[in-house]
Amino acid sequence: MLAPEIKIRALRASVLTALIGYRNGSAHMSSSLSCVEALTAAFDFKRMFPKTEIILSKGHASAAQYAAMSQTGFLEANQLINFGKEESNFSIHLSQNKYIPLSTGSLGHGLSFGVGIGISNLINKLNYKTIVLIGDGESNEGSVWEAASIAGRLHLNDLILLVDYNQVQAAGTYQEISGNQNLTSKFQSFGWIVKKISAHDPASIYSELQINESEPKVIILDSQENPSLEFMQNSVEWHYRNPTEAEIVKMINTLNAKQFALDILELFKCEKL
Amino acid sequence: MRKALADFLVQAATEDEKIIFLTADLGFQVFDEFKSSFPQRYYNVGIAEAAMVGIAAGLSYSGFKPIIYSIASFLDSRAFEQFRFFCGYNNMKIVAIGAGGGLTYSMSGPTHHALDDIGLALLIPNLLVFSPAGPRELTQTLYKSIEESGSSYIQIGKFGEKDVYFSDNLEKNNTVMGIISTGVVSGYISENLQEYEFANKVSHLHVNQIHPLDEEVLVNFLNSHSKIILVEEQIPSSGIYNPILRLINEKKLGVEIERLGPRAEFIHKNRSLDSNREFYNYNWSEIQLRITNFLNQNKKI
Repeated sequence: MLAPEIKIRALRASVLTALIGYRNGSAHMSSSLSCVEALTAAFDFKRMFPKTEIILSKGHASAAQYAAMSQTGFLEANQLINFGKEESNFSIHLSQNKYIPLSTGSLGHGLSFGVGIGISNLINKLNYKTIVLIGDGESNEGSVWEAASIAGRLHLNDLILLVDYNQVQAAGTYQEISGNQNLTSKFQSFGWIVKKISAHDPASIYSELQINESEPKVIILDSQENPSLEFMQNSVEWHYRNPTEAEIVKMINTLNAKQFALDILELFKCEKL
Repeated sequence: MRKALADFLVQAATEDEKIIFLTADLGFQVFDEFKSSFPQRYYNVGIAEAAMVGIAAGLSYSGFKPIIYSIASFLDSRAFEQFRFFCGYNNMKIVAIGAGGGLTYSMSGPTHHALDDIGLALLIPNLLVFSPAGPRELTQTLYKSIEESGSSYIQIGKFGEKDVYFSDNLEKNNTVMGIISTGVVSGYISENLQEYEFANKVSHLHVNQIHPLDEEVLVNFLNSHSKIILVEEQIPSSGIYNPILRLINEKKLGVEIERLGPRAEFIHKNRSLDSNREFYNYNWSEIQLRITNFLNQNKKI
């Protein structure tokens, strides 16, 4: 798969995520925009390797996952018109469907579920990859480390954990709440391979997913540097609020994605921003 | 009962290659035959109940039939949210076994007393809840749980528990008083009842499946007696007391229920199972006294 194509799809998924937040609200903007490109890379990978399972453990980033799925052929973007609305199947915390194995929302469950799928593949001698995405704040949950410990001990080498290292939690920054925790050495001590990649480099994330490893691998996604999202960087407030018109316009202009945004607005039957 | 579980696992895994067993580091030597016969389908996940439920859910999603094991005081209390999340909300199928139900591990202290595990299991929508009395009934329950579409929680004892017939003396029309019980305490009651001089005046219904209740059997039993003694080894808000009171209310039945069993408090003294049953007034002497008093009052002897 060509890197430029992945980048374009990830960029479009980002714009779509922001538009969902702007139009429908309740979309956990910063939590979604920090991992939407990684999710797009993951679903691009699933497009090539359909037996791949993707588990979004931080279910509050559902807008990002739905946007990523819509740009990689796993759902139609027009289905997202009712995201977060009454009776919609597309809720502000992720809900099961054909390509979503697990409904999520409360944190700390995705990795153990992924370990279970990994053990199944181990027994059946299948080299399918299982990709789990958690938040950095989510790693406060003890169940994450129970699962990480077991995955390391069983050498589940087809298990890949993406950690959205956006350094913002629900009530403060990662540093304020979690301290100076070294995720790299923690995972290494559990027997994991640790890689660090920019969360905004979907082509590199895709390449990393392709590599066959001898141990489970964690990819720490640094989402700090993103020029298009400068206005919401390091802001706890953005865990809850939605973009204004001016902010959306600025983002679209920075990303040079005006035509795509107009197409989406037409799809969503919005007359104007 | 643990021997029955171990035997079932070997048999079931022989018949079905999807059976897989997870333990949270309990059952020393109990599952050795299974472990040596099916090393790829035995996982000791370590002392990690929460992860065990999630891993089992992932295995279930992938087509396996996971059976998970810990002791009853830890399993669904430690991993309650995982049960609610995976077995309830996400409807992943798991068969969960909590060993050492009630006060089986009486001498080990309150951390090892399982007096609220049934109540926690009853809070999970779609979870079948069982409390068999003995090994034969456990084996039947396990086969049923494997066949069911939803998840099950099965509270079991340890060893030496006695099976009871589904009910004692139900066929006798002249019984005036009924006993309802569940779990390992049922065997204790049944055994003593058989030696009791007025046994033919008393009928005993053991309830294995606590959720959903077999309403037809229970309504029939409740309607057949003016007084019921209900015995359970759970705190009052956890066992069959509330589900049966709800049934009585919904069906507008007129029967009087007297509950015997542990109170909602922690036991801070070191006591054997017999001593605790005596302390909480549900040992056989106490049950017998209540029956005799009732029969005397009603002059049915």
